[in-house]
Amino acid sequence: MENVASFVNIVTAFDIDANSKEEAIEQVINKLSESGKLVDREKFQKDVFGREAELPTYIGYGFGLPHSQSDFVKKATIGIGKLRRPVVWTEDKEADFIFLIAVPHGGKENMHLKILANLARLLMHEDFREKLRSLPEKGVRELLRDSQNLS
Amino acid sequence: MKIVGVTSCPSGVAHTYMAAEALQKAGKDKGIEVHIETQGASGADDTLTKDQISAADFVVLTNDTSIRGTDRFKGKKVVQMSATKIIEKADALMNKLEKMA
Repeated sequence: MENVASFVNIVTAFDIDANSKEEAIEQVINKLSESGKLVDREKFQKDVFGREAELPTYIGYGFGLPHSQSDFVKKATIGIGKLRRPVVWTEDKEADFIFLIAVPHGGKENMHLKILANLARLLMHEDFREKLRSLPEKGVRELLRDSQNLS
Repeated sequence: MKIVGVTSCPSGVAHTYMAAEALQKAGKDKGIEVHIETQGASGADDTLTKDQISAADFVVLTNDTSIRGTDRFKGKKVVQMSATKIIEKADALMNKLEKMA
């Protein structure tokens, strides 16, 4: 059986000390960069902020979902950031949980897109969000790995 | 009541699917039959059938980016909303449509 977990990597940053949405996103991007998931950290960040400026990615329930399908991503990765305190995401909405989705361009292989689609769907379910909030860092990584196998 | 819909968003990675799930979940909670086609970065999934469309009381479409194949919905009652709004307010939308049906 194929190792599905290899399609989408999980990176976590669970103690983010940030005063703005930009700072918080930057810290999650740092984690992706440190673990070698990006081709070019600065350019990827520009893509993410560009998408964010087009339409803020607040999805409710204190969750921000910045994402980009970008030339500067090596491997499809989800970066999970948990913030010490909420930051303003858009207008009157605050987020304290970040789900950063980084997807490379090109290729016919779209398994990672299917997995990400499934994870995006899971976020609409309260029990899944509660698990994300209550589990420790390692538990969240396991939860996401297990969720990939269900798709 | 029966609803069909098509969701899409600029990058086609996340909101397309969250909006679809929000509509399906809200429908399930209320006992409304909901079929949603997703037009995302990996192409179209769960493509609506002719029968599903002809049986539907309403068609819900996201309006963040253009939807392919809207000619399929000629003569139907179409509601257009942003994916973000649908994600936030799918329950309220279902309530409203139920009243209009």
